[in-house]
Amino acid sequence: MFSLIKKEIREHVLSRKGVWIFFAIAILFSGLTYSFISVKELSLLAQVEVNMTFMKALIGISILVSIILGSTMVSGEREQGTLESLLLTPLSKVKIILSKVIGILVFWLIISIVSIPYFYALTYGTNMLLTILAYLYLIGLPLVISFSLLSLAFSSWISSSKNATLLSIVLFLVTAIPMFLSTTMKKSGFAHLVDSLSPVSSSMLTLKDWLVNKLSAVTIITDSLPVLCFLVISIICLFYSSKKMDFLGGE
Amino acid sequence: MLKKAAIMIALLLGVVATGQNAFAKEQPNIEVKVISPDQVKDYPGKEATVKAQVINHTNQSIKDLVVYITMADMGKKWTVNLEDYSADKPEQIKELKAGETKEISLPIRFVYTSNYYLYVTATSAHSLEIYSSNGIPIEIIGNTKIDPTIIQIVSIGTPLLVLAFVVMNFTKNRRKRIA
Repeated sequence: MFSLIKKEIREHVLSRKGVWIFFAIAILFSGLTYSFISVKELSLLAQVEVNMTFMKALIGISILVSIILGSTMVSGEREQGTLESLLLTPLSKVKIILSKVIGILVFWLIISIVSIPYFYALTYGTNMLLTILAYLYLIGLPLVISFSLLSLAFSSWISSSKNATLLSIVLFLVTAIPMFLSTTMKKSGFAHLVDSLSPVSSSMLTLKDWLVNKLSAVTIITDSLPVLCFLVISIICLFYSSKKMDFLGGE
Repeated sequence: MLKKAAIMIALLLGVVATGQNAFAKEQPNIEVKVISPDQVKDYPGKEATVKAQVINHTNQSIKDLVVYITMADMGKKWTVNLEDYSADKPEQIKELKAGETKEISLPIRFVYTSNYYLYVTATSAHSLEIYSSNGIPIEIIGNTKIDPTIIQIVSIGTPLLVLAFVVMNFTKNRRKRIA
């Protein structure tokens, strides 16, 4: 299994595509961070708001990258005809999937490490850095992993990686809808329903309650419950979908 | 003589009529008063609830009143997008009876550093008249300790470090391929 994990890391993290993605993300983070001191509107924001905006961007980018990565992992192997050789190894299907999950996890960990200098610069002069990192690894990590697991599940279910990617992105956009809506729109109808159920919305609420409102641990845990539920659902989906992972044409 | 007297009377009547108009402007049909806070001086992120009274001075009930916060940024000489301040949702008063006073609460969260005048406005769906309260001064003090030099170093240094990693990775892969 260790050699399979190494293969996943070599193929996705240390590949030419992988390292260029890290560079592109670093450029994106630099642009965003620099805009906090150069754009007048953004420079007027409170430091806590600046960090919240950066965290939202980081989580959004992480989810998007990890679902694209996850949705092509199994179906990509199937399309390239390498899934057969993987399934013929003595490793169980769950272990194969688990090694792919670890590959995504390493990818995300590198993104989070790249973001640390930016958080250091943005939290300079305050004691927010530890809280920010705690949020990133306690709430951000389960959220990113949940989306990755679901995209892997889609990748196992659907034979086409294009369709799996599309489905994963649609799921992400539906859960992220409340972030693009006004406060008034979020208070009624479908938007309200999505806002109350969405793990993305609840992660943003947790961030606000933790950083800005400085609410109690109980409230923060309550806020983050949809994220944890989403993680459990994703694990169950992936567990069942791993059983469906089979040769092309089901043979 | 009579003509002069008629002119004088007409002028006096005019003054009286103008005076009545001025009085009518002092006593509007609807009066809006901000009860609390009387001022805000705090850091960005401060959440407040603006309490205001809406008084109907007429002898008729007024229906479908919409009461909302308005803010003017006196620092930048701009109007304010209240959605950023989570204060874009108005309060509705279905009916304000003759002589009745109603109290409403409007939440707001101050986000940007600047000096503002905040006031509460009321308007009815059945009239084009707009009634506003007096403004209260809001001062949101900048509390950012972000050092632009550190931002510049990190913004330039981090992508360069990642680029160095990219180059190292390419060199390593090429060496492997040659070997």
